[in-house]
Amino acid sequence: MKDPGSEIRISADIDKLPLLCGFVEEHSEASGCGKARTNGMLLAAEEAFVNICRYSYPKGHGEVTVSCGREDNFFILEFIDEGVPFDILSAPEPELELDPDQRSPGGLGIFFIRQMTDRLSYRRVDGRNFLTMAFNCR
Amino acid sequence: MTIETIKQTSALVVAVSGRMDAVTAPEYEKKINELLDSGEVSYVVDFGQLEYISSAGLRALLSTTRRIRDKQGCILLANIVGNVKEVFEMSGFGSIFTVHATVDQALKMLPG
Repeated sequence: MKDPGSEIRISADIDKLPLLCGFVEEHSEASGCGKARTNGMLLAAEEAFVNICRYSYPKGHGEVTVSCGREDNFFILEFIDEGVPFDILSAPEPELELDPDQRSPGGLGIFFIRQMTDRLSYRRVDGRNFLTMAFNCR
Repeated sequence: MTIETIKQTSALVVAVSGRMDAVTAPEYEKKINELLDSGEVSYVVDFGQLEYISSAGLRALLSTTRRIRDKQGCILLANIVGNVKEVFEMSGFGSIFTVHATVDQALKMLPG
């Protein structure tokens, strides 16, 4: 996880999404995860990144560090930002039984993150949010 | 994302290819809004070449569908396959859209 080659720091700006996708694709394929698994990672990564872009820095510009690496059978993606505290695990489940236009906004992205990850953890340390997602790539 | 439109007798076929994500979804919304402003109200959206959709893409689809229906128009979706199909099913969006296996099948549902 500390390999400098597997970390990027990008502006928390939605236009930077292609940089994130390129980073995830390159490293996931290099660590031998299949195409289908990589697609799930790209979806979880986009949703996490978009959340940070939209909600972490309400007062202006910020950045996000994304690191990745392999731990046993898992491919790990970690998002670190210095924005407002937000624990994705405490967010309510989307009301899937309701029509999508009656659901609360934002819930679907978090739902996709939960669906796509095999392990998901959040911690707040020294004013930073750490969101860690693990994908089983056995 | 690339959007191609083909005028058929009963509807405008909108073929969307590539990725419908947080960056590109606004392009889809803009295109549908322009078409609506030009008076087009019947749409068949062909997702056969769409490789990826996220919640931002689904939201764009939902908001444009609402606008089309507000104008008494109609939108049918066709050719939802692969990853896109999985995301549709997972989200429950499949139930609010009329989804057809092919564009031709969708076109047959519309008055000529």
